[in-house]
Amino acid sequence: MIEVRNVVKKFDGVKALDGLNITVENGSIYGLVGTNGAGKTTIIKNIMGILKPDSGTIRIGGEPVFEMEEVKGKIGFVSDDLYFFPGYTLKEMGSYYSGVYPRWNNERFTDMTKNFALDMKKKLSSFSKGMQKQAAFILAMSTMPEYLVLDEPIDGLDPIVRLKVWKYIINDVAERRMTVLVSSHNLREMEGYCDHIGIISKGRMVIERDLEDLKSDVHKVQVAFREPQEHAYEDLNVLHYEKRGSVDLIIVRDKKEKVEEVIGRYRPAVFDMLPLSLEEIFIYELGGVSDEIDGII
Amino acid sequence: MKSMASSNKRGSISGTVIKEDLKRFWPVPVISLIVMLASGSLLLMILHYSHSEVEYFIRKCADCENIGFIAALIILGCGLGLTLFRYIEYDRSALMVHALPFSRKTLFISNYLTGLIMMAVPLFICGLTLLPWGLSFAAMLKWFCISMLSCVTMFSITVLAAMLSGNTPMHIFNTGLLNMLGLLVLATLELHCARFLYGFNGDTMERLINNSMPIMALFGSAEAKVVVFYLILTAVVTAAAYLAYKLRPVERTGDSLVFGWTRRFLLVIVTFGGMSLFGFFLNSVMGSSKDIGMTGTVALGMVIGFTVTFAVMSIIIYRTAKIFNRKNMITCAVTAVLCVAFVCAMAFDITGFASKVPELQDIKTASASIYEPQGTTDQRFEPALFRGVGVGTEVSYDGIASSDVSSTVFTEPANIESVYHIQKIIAMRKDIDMNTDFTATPFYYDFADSFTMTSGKKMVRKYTISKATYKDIEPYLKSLYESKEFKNDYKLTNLKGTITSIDYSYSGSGMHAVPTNEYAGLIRALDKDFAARTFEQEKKDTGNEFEIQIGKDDGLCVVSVKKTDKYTKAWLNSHRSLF
Repeated sequence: MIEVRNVVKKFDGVKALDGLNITVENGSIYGLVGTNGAGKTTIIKNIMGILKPDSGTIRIGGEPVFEMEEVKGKIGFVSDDLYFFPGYTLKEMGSYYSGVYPRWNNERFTDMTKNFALDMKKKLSSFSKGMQKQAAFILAMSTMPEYLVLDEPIDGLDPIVRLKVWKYIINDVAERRMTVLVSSHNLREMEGYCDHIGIISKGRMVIERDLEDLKSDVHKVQVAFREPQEHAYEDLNVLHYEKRGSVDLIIVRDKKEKVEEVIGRYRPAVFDMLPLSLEEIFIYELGGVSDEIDGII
Repeated sequence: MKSMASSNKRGSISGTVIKEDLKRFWPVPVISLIVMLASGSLLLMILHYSHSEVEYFIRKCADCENIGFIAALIILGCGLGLTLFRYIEYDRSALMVHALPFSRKTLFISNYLTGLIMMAVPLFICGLTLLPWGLSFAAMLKWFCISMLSCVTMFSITVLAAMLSGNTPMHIFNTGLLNMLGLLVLATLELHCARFLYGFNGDTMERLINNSMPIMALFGSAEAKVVVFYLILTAVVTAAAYLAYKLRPVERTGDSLVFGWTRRFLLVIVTFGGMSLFGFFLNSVMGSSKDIGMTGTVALGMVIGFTVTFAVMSIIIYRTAKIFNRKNMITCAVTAVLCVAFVCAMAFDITGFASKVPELQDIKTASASIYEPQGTTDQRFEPALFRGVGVGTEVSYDGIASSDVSSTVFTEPANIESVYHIQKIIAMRKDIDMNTDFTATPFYYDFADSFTMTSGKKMVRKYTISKATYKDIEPYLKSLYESKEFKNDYKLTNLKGTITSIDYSYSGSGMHAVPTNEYAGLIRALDKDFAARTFEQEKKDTGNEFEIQIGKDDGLCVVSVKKTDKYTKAWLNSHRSLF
């Protein structure tokens, strides 16, 4: 389990993380989403033990991670900002990683390299950005990590490669109960693979839920009443309200049954409940928190 | 804490890191080795030197007076420090390396150890190649150890610079600054002391400056205390570098300096240096301006130096031209206050350094330059010859170098009182003498004295004094010169070592050897003349008629025979048949 508790991290007096809490259960895929500058990369760097939080605790498998070699040895990491030793080939990087990670699996390394059709003997600097990302993913997966932390892992990858990446991740989650924390802006893809979602804004957790729960709790509702009803939504947690002619468009965060019961009291002429995509949930959830989103909505 | 200890069981040295470092950075030691071989053994093979030339060449190599060797040591020490820890200066490499399952302790120790290996191997190979050319194994080992210590000191300083710097240009700048910090601070302080403290004797400072760089210090003297000093310095710097790495905020990577306090420290120290250098430079260029005087030119230079250095350093450190912000202005004001306070403390002599005269009853011994050194050819006053050390060796008594004083340590109360009175007169006249450049006048007198107190404390002074001051102290100089203590100190019978030859020469003639059995008689005559010689005769009787050269196993003592030296002249006359 990855546990982040009340983590604060300041840069030049500005809080990049402001009492952030994250819980990633073992064997789950946790999607970390947020606007640019929300603190996703900062919390990942803290989780990886690269940065030290100003306050709060980060524990992986119950152990603190900063400066802890054994704990870090269980984590595979693919950064958004890739780096390989200058002039090194994938084979040489693999050889280096094999000396560093105790559970390095050379067979998997060879298989994955073949599967992704990368040239092991070619300098990594001559690879395209997407190929470098694949190489970093292969290296991370070959360490046989108990925990996999991915920062924008699928940016710049073509759809086929993306599928391969997810296939490997899901296989390891299923077979080895690998725990995955992934940050991405590609919410459609996250929606398809993650079972938990954490939405952060300005260094704070806005919402952290099981994805199915989250989706079942947020609804897009179209309502039209015969008579104007001023207090029809008072008992509901309305994230967004919009009037389109005689039809009200509202985004509500409440149980389906409660929404039906509250609106049903006013006998609406039109009453439709539509499911929301993660992208819509992200936009409407952050609508009340982030100024940037307000403009979009 | 318990769980931390239990889960961090891996060793502090990573073979993988060392192996990878060796694989990636091998060119640094190889280049150093090539430079050493090209300026050492290979050069000897090409040049076909004679035996004595080879011996001389090898000695130069062993003393690190070979420019190629010096360059190689700097490449090894600084070059390895600059490359091995380079990963912490770039965002992406710092991110990648610190995400790996290594603690900073492991990374530091492993990279540091690689540096030691990469230094030791080329140095040892180079040492081995010098053996066939006549360098003994013991001498080679000594050279290796001193070279190694020099390199490790520079390496540790460079590593510390890496830990404090956020990017490569600043790392290079800080490497240069920290490696020369001792030299720069001492040289700047000496400039201030020499300018503002009347009577300041820079000999001790000069010695410190000469020992402030590891290569200069260790190969220059190789004294045990210097070696111990550099061992301790290296250990302290390495520990500081390790601590800095442990505390290093990785998020500061790319900044000029990663710790906030180092930014202000660097600003203050470099601004102080720039202010001082510019002030004294302007003074040396403009001299004493008619309009603003010597102090005025120094002050003007310091104001310009302060402003320029602070502005330039602020731009470099904060990486922006927007330096006129409240925070930086506060730093500027604090720096200005510190600089002004220091300069005022020196200029107004708040410690009373220039006016200090010890209490007579507290003085145990005293020393003074009682004989004017300028214009004399008499090498009788070469103290080394009377102390049993080689000519040219600095003989220092009570902290005064032999070049400054006669090196006689007076213990008789009358003589101590004379030195005391001299010091009192000079201290009284300081306001007149200290602001005048006497070296540009027809007469000036360089004078130095020193006192050892009964408490063991020392007081050492060195002056350039005016003719008027000289006239006032002259009676005391005469008293000291004619004292039994002084005359006994420079009696030729007190020469140390074995006399191997005595030659006599006079204008227009060659050298005439004095027979061995006549040495004692001639020396007796010379000593009788010296004992009878007055201060006035010593000063005025500069037209030396003859010269006696006394060859010793450790140097040559040249004694001038003056017109008034009747005993020597009588001896020479009576032995005319010998020449």
